[in-house]
Amino acid sequence: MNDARPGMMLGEATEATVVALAAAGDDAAYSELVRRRQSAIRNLMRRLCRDAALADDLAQQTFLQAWRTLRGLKSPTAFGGWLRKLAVNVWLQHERANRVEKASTQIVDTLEAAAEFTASFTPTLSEKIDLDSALATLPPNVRICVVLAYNEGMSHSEISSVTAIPLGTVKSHVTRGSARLRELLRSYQHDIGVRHVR
Amino acid sequence: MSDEIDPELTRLFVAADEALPPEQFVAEAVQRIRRNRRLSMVRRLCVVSAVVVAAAGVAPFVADFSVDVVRYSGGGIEGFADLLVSPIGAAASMVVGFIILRRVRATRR
Repeated sequence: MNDARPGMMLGEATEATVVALAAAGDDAAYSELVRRRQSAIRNLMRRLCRDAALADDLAQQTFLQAWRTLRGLKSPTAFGGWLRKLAVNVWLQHERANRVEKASTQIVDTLEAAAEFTASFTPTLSEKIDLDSALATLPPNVRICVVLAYNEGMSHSEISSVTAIPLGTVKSHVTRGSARLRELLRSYQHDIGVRHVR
Repeated sequence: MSDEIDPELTRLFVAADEALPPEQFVAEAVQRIRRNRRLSMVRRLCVVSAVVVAAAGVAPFVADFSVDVVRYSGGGIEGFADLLVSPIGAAASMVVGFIILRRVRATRR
Protein backbone atom coordinates (compact mmCIF):
# COMPACT_ATOMS: atom_id res chain seq x y z
CA MET A 1 0.00 0.00 0.00
CA ASN A 2 1.07 3.50 -0.72
CA ASP A 3 1.77 5.37 2.49
CA ALA A 4 3.02 8.56 0.86
CA ARG A 5 0.26 10.81 2.23
CA PRO A 6 1.23 12.34 5.56
CA GLY A 7 -0.73 10.74 8.39
CA MET A 8 -1.15 14.05 10.22
CA MET A 9 -3.16 15.59 7.38
CA LEU A 10 -5.41 12.58 7.08
CA GLY A 11 -5.87 12.44 10.82
CA GLU A 12 -7.35 15.92 10.75
CA ALA A 13 -9.63 15.36 7.76
CA THR A 14 -13.35 14.65 8.11
CA GLU A 15 -14.44 11.05 7.66
CA ALA A 16 -16.34 11.86 4.46
CA THR A 17 -13.13 13.28 2.96
CA VAL A 18 -11.07 10.28 4.04
CA VAL A 19 -13.71 7.90 2.65
CA ALA A 20 -13.74 9.78 -0.66
CA LEU A 21 -9.93 9.58 -0.85
CA ALA A 22 -9.93 5.88 0.03
CA ALA A 23 -12.62 5.19 -2.58
CA ALA A 24 -10.39 6.93 -5.13
CA GLY A 25 -7.65 4.42 -4.35
CA ASP A 26 -5.63 6.22 -1.67
CA ASP A 27 -4.28 3.42 0.51
CA ALA A 28 -3.07 5.71 3.29
CA ALA A 29 -6.61 7.10 3.54
CA TYR A 30 -7.95 3.58 3.87
CA SER A 31 -5.46 2.83 6.66
CA GLU A 32 -6.72 5.94 8.41
CA LEU A 33 -10.31 4.68 8.09
CA VAL A 34 -9.30 1.32 9.60
CA ARG A 35 -7.57 3.15 12.44
CA ARG A 36 -10.65 5.28 13.15
CA ARG A 37 -13.21 2.49 12.97
CA GLN A 38 -11.31 -0.53 14.25
CA SER A 39 -12.29 -0.15 17.88
CA ALA A 40 -16.03 0.01 17.16
CA ILE A 41 -16.00 -2.96 14.80
CA ARG A 42 -13.77 -5.06 17.08
CA ASN A 43 -15.99 -4.29 20.07
CA LEU A 44 -19.07 -5.24 18.06
CA MET A 45 -17.44 -8.52 17.03
CA ARG A 46 -16.35 -9.21 20.62
CA ARG A 47 -19.93 -8.84 21.82
CA LEU A 48 -20.99 -11.27 19.08
CA CYS A 49 -18.17 -13.83 19.38
CA ARG A 50 -16.80 -13.75 22.92
CA ASP A 51 -13.46 -15.04 21.53
CA ALA A 52 -11.23 -11.96 21.09
CA ALA A 53 -8.94 -13.56 18.48
CA LEU A 54 -11.87 -14.68 16.35
CA ALA A 55 -13.50 -11.28 16.79
CA ASP A 56 -10.35 -9.56 15.49
CA ASP A 57 -10.15 -11.97 12.57
CA LEU A 58 -13.76 -11.25 11.60
CA ALA A 59 -13.15 -7.52 12.03
CA GLN A 60 -10.22 -7.78 9.61
CA GLN A 61 -12.37 -9.70 7.15
CA THR A 62 -14.88 -6.86 7.40
CA PHE A 63 -12.22 -4.27 6.57
CA LEU A 64 -10.95 -6.40 3.69
CA GLN A 65 -14.45 -6.66 2.23
CA ALA A 66 -14.95 -2.94 2.76
CA TRP A 67 -11.71 -2.24 0.87
CA ARG A 68 -12.88 -4.42 -2.03
CA THR A 69 -16.30 -2.80 -2.30
CA LEU A 70 -15.67 0.76 -1.16
CA ARG A 71 -16.02 2.12 -4.69
CA GLY A 72 -19.63 0.97 -4.67
CA LEU A 73 -20.46 3.16 -1.67
CA LYS A 74 -22.71 5.95 -2.98
CA SER A 75 -22.41 8.45 -0.12
CA PRO A 76 -19.16 8.84 1.87
CA THR A 77 -21.18 10.06 4.88
CA ALA A 78 -22.93 6.68 5.06
CA PHE A 79 -19.63 4.87 5.62
CA GLY A 80 -20.22 4.05 9.31
CA GLY A 81 -23.58 2.37 8.80
CA TRP A 82 -22.38 0.63 5.67
CA LEU A 83 -19.34 -0.76 7.47
CA ARG A 84 -21.49 -1.96 10.37
CA LYS A 85 -23.80 -3.74 7.94
CA LEU A 86 -20.78 -5.40 6.35
CA ALA A 87 -19.59 -6.51 9.80
CA VAL A 88 -22.99 -8.02 10.58
CA ASN A 89 -22.95 -9.87 7.26
CA VAL A 90 -19.43 -11.17 7.89
CA TRP A 91 -20.52 -12.47 11.29
CA LEU A 92 -23.72 -14.01 9.89
CA GLN A 93 -21.72 -15.75 7.16
CA HIS A 94 -19.32 -17.05 9.77
CA GLU A 95 -22.24 -18.32 11.85
CA ARG A 96 -23.83 -20.02 8.84
CA ALA A 97 -20.54 -21.70 7.95
CA ASN A 98 -20.24 -23.02 11.49
CA ARG A 99 -23.86 -24.11 11.77
CA VAL A 100 -23.10 -27.65 10.71
CA GLU A 101 -20.50 -27.99 13.43
CA LYS A 102 -22.68 -26.58 16.16
CA ALA A 103 -25.66 -28.75 16.88
CA SER A 104 -27.12 -26.06 19.10
CA THR A 105 -27.47 -23.54 16.31
CA GLN A 106 -29.90 -25.80 14.44
CA ILE A 107 -32.64 -24.58 16.73
CA VAL A 108 -31.99 -20.87 16.54
CA ASP A 109 -35.11 -19.69 14.80
CA THR A 110 -37.78 -20.48 17.34
CA LEU A 111 -38.08 -18.55 20.55
CA GLU A 112 -39.15 -21.66 22.41
CA ALA A 113 -35.99 -23.35 21.32
CA ALA A 114 -34.02 -20.27 22.31
CA ALA A 115 -35.49 -20.40 25.80
CA GLU A 116 -34.69 -24.10 26.03
CA PHE A 117 -31.12 -23.45 24.89
CA THR A 118 -30.43 -20.72 27.40
CA ALA A 119 -32.27 -22.44 30.24
CA SER A 120 -29.70 -25.22 30.14
CA PHE A 121 -27.07 -22.69 31.16
CA THR A 122 -26.57 -22.38 34.91
CA PRO A 123 -23.84 -20.07 36.14
CA THR A 124 -21.70 -21.40 38.96
CA LEU A 125 -19.40 -19.66 41.40
CA SER A 126 -16.33 -20.98 39.62
CA GLU A 127 -17.52 -19.74 36.21
CA LYS A 128 -16.85 -16.16 35.30
CA ILE A 129 -20.00 -14.78 33.80
CA ASP A 130 -19.49 -11.39 32.28
CA LEU A 131 -21.51 -9.69 29.60
CA ASP A 132 -19.77 -11.49 26.73
CA SER A 133 -20.17 -14.87 28.38
CA ALA A 134 -23.83 -14.21 29.03
CA LEU A 135 -24.30 -13.09 25.42
CA ALA A 136 -22.60 -16.25 24.21
CA THR A 137 -25.37 -18.33 25.76
CA LEU A 138 -27.97 -16.67 23.54
CA PRO A 139 -28.72 -18.29 20.19
CA PRO A 140 -27.02 -16.38 17.30
CA ASN A 141 -30.18 -14.73 15.92
CA VAL A 142 -31.21 -13.54 19.37
CA ARG A 143 -27.66 -12.40 20.18
CA ILE A 144 -27.31 -10.30 17.02
CA CYS A 145 -30.61 -8.52 17.72
CA VAL A 146 -29.69 -7.80 21.35
CA VAL A 147 -26.17 -6.61 20.48
CA LEU A 148 -27.35 -4.33 17.69
CA ALA A 149 -30.04 -2.86 19.94
CA TYR A 150 -27.82 -2.24 22.96
CA ASN A 151 -24.29 -2.00 21.63
CA GLU A 152 -25.07 -0.08 18.47
CA GLY A 153 -28.23 1.70 19.62
CA MET A 154 -30.14 0.58 16.53
CA SER A 155 -33.94 0.63 16.34
CA HIS A 156 -35.84 -2.61 15.76
CA SER A 157 -36.62 -1.66 12.19
CA GLU A 158 -32.96 -0.86 11.49
CA ILE A 159 -31.97 -4.24 12.93
CA SER A 160 -34.60 -5.89 10.78
CA SER A 161 -33.25 -4.25 7.62
CA VAL A 162 -29.60 -5.04 8.45
CA THR A 163 -30.14 -8.67 9.44
CA ALA A 164 -33.10 -9.49 7.16
CA ILE A 165 -34.96 -10.86 10.18
CA PRO A 166 -38.70 -9.95 10.20
CA LEU A 167 -39.53 -6.95 12.43
CA GLY A 168 -41.83 -8.93 14.73
CA THR A 169 -39.14 -11.55 15.26
CA VAL A 170 -36.56 -8.84 16.01
CA LYS A 171 -38.84 -7.38 18.69
CA SER A 172 -39.34 -10.79 20.28
CA HIS A 173 -35.64 -11.57 20.11
CA VAL A 174 -34.69 -8.29 21.79
CA THR A 175 -37.34 -8.65 24.50
CA ARG A 176 -36.63 -12.29 25.27
CA GLY A 177 -32.87 -11.89 24.89
CA SER A 178 -32.79 -8.89 27.24
CA ALA A 179 -34.84 -10.78 29.83
CA ARG A 180 -32.49 -13.73 29.63
CA LEU A 181 -29.43 -11.48 29.90
CA ARG A 182 -30.84 -9.72 32.94
CA GLU A 183 -31.55 -13.08 34.54
CA LEU A 184 -28.04 -14.39 33.86
CA LEU A 185 -26.29 -11.23 34.98
CA ARG A 186 -28.41 -10.98 38.10
CA SER A 187 -27.46 -14.49 39.20
CA TYR A 188 -23.83 -13.70 38.36
CA GLN A 189 -23.89 -10.52 40.45
CA HIS A 190 -25.57 -12.50 43.23
CA ASP A 191 -22.87 -15.20 43.03
CA ILE A 192 -20.13 -12.59 43.11
CA GLY A 193 -21.79 -11.01 46.14
CA VAL A 194 -21.88 -14.37 47.91
CA ARG A 195 -18.22 -14.94 47.10
CA HIS A 196 -17.25 -11.54 48.48
CA VAL A 197 -19.19 -12.18 51.72
CA ARG A 198 -17.40 -15.50 52.19
CA MET B 1 -34.33 5.09 19.27
CA SER B 2 -38.00 4.76 20.13
CA ASP B 3 -37.96 1.04 20.98
CA GLU B 4 -38.05 -0.06 24.57
CA ILE B 5 -34.60 -0.73 25.99
CA ASP B 6 -33.32 -1.59 29.42
CA PRO B 7 -31.13 1.25 30.80
CA GLU B 8 -29.22 -1.16 33.04
CA LEU B 9 -28.27 -3.37 30.10
CA THR B 10 -27.37 -0.29 28.08
CA ARG B 11 -25.03 0.77 30.88
CA LEU B 12 -23.43 -2.70 30.89
CA PHE B 13 -22.87 -2.59 27.15
CA VAL B 14 -21.32 0.86 27.38
CA ALA B 15 -19.06 -0.31 30.22
CA ALA B 16 -17.99 -3.37 28.23
CA ASP B 17 -16.82 -1.22 25.30
CA GLU B 18 -13.08 -0.69 25.53
CA ALA B 19 -10.79 1.55 23.50
CA LEU B 20 -8.70 -1.03 21.68
CA PRO B 21 -5.19 -0.03 20.57
CA PRO B 22 -5.11 0.35 16.79
CA GLU B 23 -1.43 -0.20 15.90
CA GLN B 24 -1.20 -3.97 15.58
CA PHE B 25 -4.70 -4.37 14.19
CA VAL B 26 -4.19 -1.73 11.50
CA ALA B 27 -0.80 -3.21 10.55
CA GLU B 28 -2.34 -6.68 10.19
CA ALA B 29 -5.32 -5.35 8.23
CA VAL B 30 -3.01 -3.50 5.83
CA GLN B 31 -0.88 -6.62 5.43
CA ARG B 32 -4.00 -8.66 4.68
CA ILE B 33 -5.10 -6.17 2.04
CA ARG B 34 -1.66 -6.23 0.43
CA ARG B 35 -1.68 -10.03 0.36
CA ASN B 36 -5.14 -10.02 -1.14
CA ARG B 37 -4.08 -7.52 -3.78
CA ARG B 38 -1.06 -9.66 -4.72
CA LEU B 39 -3.22 -12.76 -4.94
CA SER B 40 -5.81 -11.11 -7.15
CA MET B 41 -3.02 -9.78 -9.39
CA VAL B 42 -1.55 -13.28 -9.72
CA ARG B 43 -5.06 -14.66 -10.40
CA ARG B 44 -5.63 -12.05 -13.10
CA LEU B 45 -2.23 -12.81 -14.68
CA CYS B 46 -3.07 -16.52 -14.70
CA VAL B 47 -6.39 -15.86 -16.41
CA VAL B 48 -4.77 -13.58 -19.03
CA SER B 49 -2.03 -16.19 -19.66
CA ALA B 50 -4.61 -18.94 -20.03
CA VAL B 51 -6.60 -16.84 -22.50
CA VAL B 52 -3.46 -16.02 -24.52
CA VAL B 53 -2.42 -19.69 -24.65
CA ALA B 54 -5.93 -20.76 -25.61
CA ALA B 55 -6.10 -18.03 -28.28
CA ALA B 56 -2.72 -19.13 -29.67
CA GLY B 57 -3.94 -22.72 -29.86
CA VAL B 58 -7.19 -21.83 -31.57
CA ALA B 59 -5.76 -19.11 -33.86
CA PRO B 60 -4.68 -21.42 -36.78
CA PHE B 61 -8.16 -22.94 -36.94
CA VAL B 62 -9.81 -19.53 -36.80
CA ALA B 63 -7.51 -18.24 -39.52
CA ASP B 64 -8.27 -21.23 -41.75
CA PHE B 65 -11.97 -20.81 -41.16
CA SER B 66 -11.78 -17.09 -41.93
CA VAL B 67 -9.93 -17.76 -45.16
CA ASP B 68 -12.60 -20.30 -46.15
CA VAL B 69 -15.40 -17.85 -45.34
CA VAL B 70 -13.75 -15.06 -47.32
CA ARG B 71 -13.11 -17.40 -50.23
CA TYR B 72 -16.71 -18.60 -50.18
CA SER B 73 -18.34 -15.18 -49.80
CA GLY B 74 -15.81 -13.39 -51.95
CA GLY B 75 -17.17 -15.08 -55.09
CA GLY B 76 -20.37 -13.06 -54.85
CA ILE B 77 -18.86 -9.68 -54.11
CA GLU B 78 -16.02 -9.39 -56.62
CA GLY B 79 -17.39 -6.08 -57.90
CA PHE B 80 -17.87 -4.86 -54.36
CA ALA B 81 -14.25 -5.73 -53.48
CA ASP B 82 -13.03 -3.20 -56.08
CA LEU B 83 -15.25 -0.58 -54.46
CA LEU B 84 -13.83 -1.35 -51.02
CA VAL B 85 -10.25 -0.66 -52.07
CA SER B 86 -11.23 2.58 -53.84
CA PRO B 87 -10.87 5.94 -51.92
CA ILE B 88 -14.66 6.21 -51.52
CA GLY B 89 -14.88 2.67 -50.19
CA ALA B 90 -12.04 3.28 -47.74
CA ALA B 91 -13.71 6.47 -46.48
CA ALA B 92 -17.06 4.68 -46.11
CA SER B 93 -15.32 1.87 -44.16
CA MET B 94 -13.79 4.44 -41.82
CA VAL B 95 -17.16 6.06 -41.19
CA VAL B 96 -18.75 2.68 -40.47
CA GLY B 97 -15.84 1.78 -38.17
CA PHE B 98 -16.19 5.08 -36.32
CA ILE B 99 -19.93 4.52 -35.78
CA ILE B 100 -19.27 1.00 -34.44
CA LEU B 101 -16.59 2.32 -32.05
CA ARG B 102 -18.92 5.00 -30.70
CA ARG B 103 -21.65 2.44 -30.12
CA VAL B 104 -19.27 0.14 -28.26
CA ARG B 105 -18.16 3.03 -26.01
CA ALA B 106 -21.77 3.99 -25.33
CA THR B 107 -22.65 0.47 -24.20
CA ARG B 108 -19.59 0.37 -21.92
CA ARG B 109 -20.81 3.45 -20.06
